[in-house]
Amino acid sequence: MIFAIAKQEITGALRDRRITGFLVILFLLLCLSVYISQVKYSQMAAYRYQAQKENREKWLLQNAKHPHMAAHFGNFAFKPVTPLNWIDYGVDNYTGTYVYMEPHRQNDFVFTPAQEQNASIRFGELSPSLILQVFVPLLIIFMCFAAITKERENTVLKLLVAQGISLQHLIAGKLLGYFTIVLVLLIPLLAGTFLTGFTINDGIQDMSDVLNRLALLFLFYLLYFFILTSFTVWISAIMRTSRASMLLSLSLWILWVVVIPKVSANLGADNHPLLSNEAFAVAIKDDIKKGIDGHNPDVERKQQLIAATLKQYGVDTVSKLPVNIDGIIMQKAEEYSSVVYDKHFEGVQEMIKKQNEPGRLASFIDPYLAIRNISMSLSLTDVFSHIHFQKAAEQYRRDFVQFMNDDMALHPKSSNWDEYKIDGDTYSQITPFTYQPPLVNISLRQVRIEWVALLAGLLFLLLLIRFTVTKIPVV
Amino acid sequence: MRKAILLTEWKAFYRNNIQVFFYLLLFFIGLYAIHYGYKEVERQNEVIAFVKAEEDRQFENTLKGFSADTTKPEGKRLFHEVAEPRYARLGHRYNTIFYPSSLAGLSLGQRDVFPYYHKLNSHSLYMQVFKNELVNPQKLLAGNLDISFIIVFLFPLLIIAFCYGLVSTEIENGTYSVLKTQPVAFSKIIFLKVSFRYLLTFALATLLCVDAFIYAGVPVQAALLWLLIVSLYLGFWHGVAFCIASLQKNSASNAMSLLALWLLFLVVLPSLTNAVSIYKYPVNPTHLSNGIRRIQLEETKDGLFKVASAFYQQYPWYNDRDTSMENLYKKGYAMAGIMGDEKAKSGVVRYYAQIRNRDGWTSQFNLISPAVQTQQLFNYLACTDITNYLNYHEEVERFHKRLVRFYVHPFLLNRQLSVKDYQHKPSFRWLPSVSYSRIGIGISFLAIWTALLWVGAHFILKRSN
Repeated sequence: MIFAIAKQEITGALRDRRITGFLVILFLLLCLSVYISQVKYSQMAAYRYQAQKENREKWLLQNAKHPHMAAHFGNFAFKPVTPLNWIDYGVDNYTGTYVYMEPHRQNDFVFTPAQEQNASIRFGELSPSLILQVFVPLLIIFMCFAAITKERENTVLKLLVAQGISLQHLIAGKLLGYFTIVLVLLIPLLAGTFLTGFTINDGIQDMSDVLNRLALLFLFYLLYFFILTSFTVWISAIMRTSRASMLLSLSLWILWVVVIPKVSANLGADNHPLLSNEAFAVAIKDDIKKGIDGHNPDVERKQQLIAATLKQYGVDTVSKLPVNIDGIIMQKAEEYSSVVYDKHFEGVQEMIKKQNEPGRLASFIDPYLAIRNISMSLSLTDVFSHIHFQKAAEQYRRDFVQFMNDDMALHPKSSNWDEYKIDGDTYSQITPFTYQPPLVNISLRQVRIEWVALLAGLLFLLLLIRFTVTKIPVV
Repeated sequence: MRKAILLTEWKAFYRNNIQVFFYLLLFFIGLYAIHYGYKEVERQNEVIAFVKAEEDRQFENTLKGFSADTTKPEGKRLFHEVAEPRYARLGHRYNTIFYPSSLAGLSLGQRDVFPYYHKLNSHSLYMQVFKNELVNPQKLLAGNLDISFIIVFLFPLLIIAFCYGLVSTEIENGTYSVLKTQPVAFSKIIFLKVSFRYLLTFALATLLCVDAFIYAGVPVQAALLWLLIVSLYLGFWHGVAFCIASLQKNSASNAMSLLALWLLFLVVLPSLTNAVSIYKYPVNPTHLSNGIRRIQLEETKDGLFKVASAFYQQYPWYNDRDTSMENLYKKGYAMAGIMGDEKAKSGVVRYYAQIRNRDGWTSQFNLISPAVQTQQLFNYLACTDITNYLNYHEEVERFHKRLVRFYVHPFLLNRQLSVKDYQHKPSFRWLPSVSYSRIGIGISFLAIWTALLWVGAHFILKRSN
């Protein structure tokens, strides 16, 4: 019986010109977004790959010079494009794309794509995820808002019940029918689009991880669509008229997609403001100069280090040391500044987390927020992925600066910066910057509130339908 | 008769609890949006005050160097730090500031995306100018809940809720035929009904905006222009609703069509325009990496001599014929800084040209997209659009040239700086400007849209009756 009802719904929906029209528009928009986003990301990948390569060559071909000068020549880390970025742009438009890495300081990630666009970028950008998260729910609403109400309005519901069809079966059949349409539309589309996306892969991400992410994306989107379909059908069952059902469903869509995301983000930011860059820089400078506890100034730290090194080598003057004290001082200063940077950056990251907390918790009442966060996390375009990349770049900076400082310390005979020089042989010992994105389980852990919210939402809905079905008015 | 219709409409409005609820809800969200927008601006003003205070303190302290006791090493150091351009050119940091306009809190635009101040010394500009504020990217993605958002996104929804049943409810309630028999033309009755709703929503928007104007001390001319844009945009949406109503379909179908149009103007068109503009006008900042790299010199006599020779060839008036290692080393970085910026300049110019081209195309395309156009107009008026930021960057470049002139010029001519010189030290004075021509064009398009819709709706209704 359920299947017969489902089949009937599918035929009915496909005969409706408005729904088929919507389906066609959606299909075309999805194809267009897939094409445009793939071109965008391939181009971005090519630019960044080329820039990374050129900068590496420059590093290797720089003149022979003192290790510290070479460290200041510096390296660059360009944010690599990973295979699923193009599905969901996430926060990509609002994060810097590369960083200049040099001794003593952690530089800003610069050239944020949103700075290259006028304010219309704040309206959003057509992407596959926009279609899946924002437009498909509308298709679901337009298909399902009259699922039960139209039967009641045509007095068919009374007849169906009189014929012995349970309301539970009727709802299940309709749900199955509508969900199949969404599936039939999306399975080939999702599969096709996801497969073509693999062309944007420069091998930085493990393919099995990509596949796992893809499978999960697919599953979560299905879960999202199923929740929306059943919720809309349920609304249609409890509302008296189709008009009321549609208005309620659409109001919820506006609330979910437009109002709650913005309100929650604004409340979060309002309650946990970030420091200005200048105040942040002053705080770091102070900590480095005066010591983290305020009682250990850099001058004293330096004197203590010299005394300890002299003691270690059993000599009384710096000139008798078998190592270059400048290199040791430089490295210790680097290590100290790293601790200071970590302290302050962790503070900022903590604040960002707090700002995003209301939006995450709102996932329990807003499935759009849940899928938005899950989708960008699985596509590696969320804030966590960006910070992960930032940390990897910072680690690389510390490692290559340490290598240069160690090299400097080991050449005591040449403390004069003009005499001791390194060249291509030493430069090539610094391995090029490579980046391993987080594995899928780590990404999933970042959005556990969101997927728990989606699963809880599903359970809640099924129970809701189960327990309210008997109270649904037939006439 | 007109009075009777308006009175009936008013009664119908305040008796409809749901409509009154949405009206009040929007009013309170609007108040929050004003609070939010100006809190953001206040936060930025606090940061600006902080950096300005730092700068003032810096100069207050540094100028004391002129009266320091130079017979003592500490006094000598302090004197050198202020009088020797060799040290002062790096030690003295100046702020360039993009102040928020009085309307910025109403339409934050790109103010949260761009850094609104820069701290610069006279060394290489490009090493310093590309930076970002500390931001939460997810917050930027969500956008700002300012009053412009309320007007552009949420007011149309209120209008849809008010207007979807303009004609259809008369048909559904059976009053349609009664109205048709009235001495007043049916189209006029509907026109009055739309006008009543228009006045109601415009009154709400005006109330909110005037609150904000008073709070922020917005000049009357800007406030009036703002209200003109609001009135046209609300007029546009009432025109849309009027057109849909005049087709005389049922209420559900009207609501659906109106929401589809809302989706088209607020989501589909803008997101499509953005995607196409990015596709059509790619911007590539990766080639600027060389320009932002720290200036490097080969610190040997040969290496420094090469830099100096190249520099003197271009600027022979600075050539003091002193080829001692000490002199070359002292001045090498300053020379390399200037030449480095010159070398990177073409890349930077190309980068900004790419952005301007993209902006030009998007802005033209947005003329046919009233919602985005309205948002753009608000941003133009509030000086929070990208054009002002690009102009700000140009001004920062000009200011940096003055810094170079103030510090590097005497340095290379082996001159010291005096108290008198500091009395004329560079200061950054730039205020964003409103592009009235752009606003004029935008308003004209909005007005044409609105007029066409109202006249069209009237015409359809007349013909169908």
